[in-house]
Amino acid sequence: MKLIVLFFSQFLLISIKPLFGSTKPWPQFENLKCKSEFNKVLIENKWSEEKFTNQIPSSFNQSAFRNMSQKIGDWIEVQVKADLSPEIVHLKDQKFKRFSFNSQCEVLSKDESLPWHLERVYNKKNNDMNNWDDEDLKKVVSQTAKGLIYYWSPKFAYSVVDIPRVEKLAKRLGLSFIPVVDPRASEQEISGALEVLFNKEKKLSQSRALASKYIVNRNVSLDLYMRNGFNHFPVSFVFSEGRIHSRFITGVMTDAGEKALIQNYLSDLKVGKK
Amino acid sequence: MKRLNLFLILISSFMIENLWAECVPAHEYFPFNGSWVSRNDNGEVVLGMYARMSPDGKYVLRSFSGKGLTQVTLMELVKSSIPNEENSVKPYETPLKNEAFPVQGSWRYIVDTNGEHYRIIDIIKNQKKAKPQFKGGITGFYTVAAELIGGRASSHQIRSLSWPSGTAENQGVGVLSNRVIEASLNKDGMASKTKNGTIEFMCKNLRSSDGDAMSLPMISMDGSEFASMPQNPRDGEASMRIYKFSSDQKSCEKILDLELAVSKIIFSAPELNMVLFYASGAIGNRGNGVYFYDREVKKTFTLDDPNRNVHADSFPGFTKDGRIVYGAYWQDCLNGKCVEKAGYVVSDPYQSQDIKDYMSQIGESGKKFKNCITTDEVKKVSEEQAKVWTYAP
Repeated sequence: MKLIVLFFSQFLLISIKPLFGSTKPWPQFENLKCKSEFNKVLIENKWSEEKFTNQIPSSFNQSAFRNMSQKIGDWIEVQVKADLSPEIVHLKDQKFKRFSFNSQCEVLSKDESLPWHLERVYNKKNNDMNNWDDEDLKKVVSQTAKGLIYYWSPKFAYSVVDIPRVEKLAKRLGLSFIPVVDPRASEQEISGALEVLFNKEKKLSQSRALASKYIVNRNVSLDLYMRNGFNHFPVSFVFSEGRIHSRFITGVMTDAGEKALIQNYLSDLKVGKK
Repeated sequence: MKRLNLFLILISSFMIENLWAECVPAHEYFPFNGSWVSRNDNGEVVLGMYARMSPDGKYVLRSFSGKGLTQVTLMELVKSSIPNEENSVKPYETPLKNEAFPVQGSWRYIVDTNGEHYRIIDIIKNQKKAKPQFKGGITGFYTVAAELIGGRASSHQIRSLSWPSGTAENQGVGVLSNRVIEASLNKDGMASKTKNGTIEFMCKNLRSSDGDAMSLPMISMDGSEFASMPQNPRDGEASMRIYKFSSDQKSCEKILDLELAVSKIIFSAPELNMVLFYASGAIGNRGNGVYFYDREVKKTFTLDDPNRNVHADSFPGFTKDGRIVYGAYWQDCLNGKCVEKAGYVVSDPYQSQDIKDYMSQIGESGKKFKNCITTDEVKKVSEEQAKVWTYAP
């Protein structure tokens, strides 16, 4: 245990210099079609200076890059294949639009369906009162000085068990705690998981009251989806100064480790590195 | 003349053997059916979490697979011997708790979260009344383990990897550690621990580049490598990386950076040199959520069966022969009417469209991929595995 504490105290002392993203990282294929038209679209939309990171491609011959958006709910993804013209997928107002080029290199745009991971859950419960979308995210980030968005799923037991601990830690560090839940989980699964959690210490009636506090916030924010916060639970996003840090905390952590990461992320956000 | 005849016989038998090598199906489906199957209030079949696949693809170790079942079950994938009859899945209940894990590579044991090692035959025979053989290894959370290469029934080493820190209320991701224990089977096939090993904290040598806090660890089938995603690296993006355990069990050698932020990755048998992961990839709806990455050509490939509209629901696993097993939802359609099914899918990555495209478009390096996994290869692995599970010394 002492060894762990020692490691984390070292961890705090090392200054962090993030190397987050790069501009135009896609391969510059000589035979890439419609290069100038593609660059024109990037410039016209003020996307040319955006910083991008690698994304998992949809096939072996595709390279995909997503920008590190500074605007909540507004994202672009560039997809490139040798011999073909590049394509750009733009997310705005919770809708995807794909820009491509025809054989004359004229720009075409069409609505893109939701990724299938989301379609199953987003379309079923469009009007769910508990839905928590990009508008909610914008409100929280703009109206709260600093906070931690805790994304959990009843299907990942540790993400449930850790809710009270992370809430306590966030409050101790002066952060608002905003739990949001996996939208693929059913209401029964969510309430069941929370009841089991709170039953450990409380009476059933009290546990239901506590559980109800967390049932809300069914995360249908596409912004959090684009941040890749969908592959594992829990993940925690740290925000302050009106911006969300591009890195998130994956998995359950000890208080010491999580505190160190949160403080590093807050410090990055303060100096504008993220 | 006799020599020439012998040569011709040898050549023709080699050709016949290869011509007759039968490919496994590109995709095999094992739907959940039976009174043990449950649905959530969204009407979806409950598939469960934390799947681990046995080397022969016969069993899936999984938690929360249905209300009427124990927390952890061993799910047997039963292939129908009757033509046109559906395959099925048979659950075996266990006394194990959520996130119990197998000793990968050999699957000689399944380990409970408290370190108790169970034999597979005991679970199959006695189900939730099965008794453990011995206790050992790391007892942290998200633990993974593998049998080190060269193990025999009479003497084998098991490496476990996790974060054995903190208490139940305050444990978590941080500095990784590993422990190597030794075990042995006696003449009756009963197992005992012969060496306890020590907990070794790891990767101090990479602190300046990868940081201290590692997430999503997974061990390779032979226990020589592990994958993990540093939470806040100093040398680039927070991406999944592969490391090698050193002989001192403490320092780590960075082997490969996938340069992608993914969920836990799963290793193939070392000779196949691939890893697998489940993720939401680039926008565009190609693939079923399961990706495999070839470490030699450094490319990511997708799996898909467009006729069935397959959607994987959790992370997959490799069999020793290279097939990919995963829980999924799919559609069975007949005359325009489709029925949604849920269960397990077994896919041959070499028969995926993405690999076929790669082989046809990329000349020389495409040759490294074979056309398919054969039934003989599957049979060989299955026989080897059956031998391990006899627990004969």
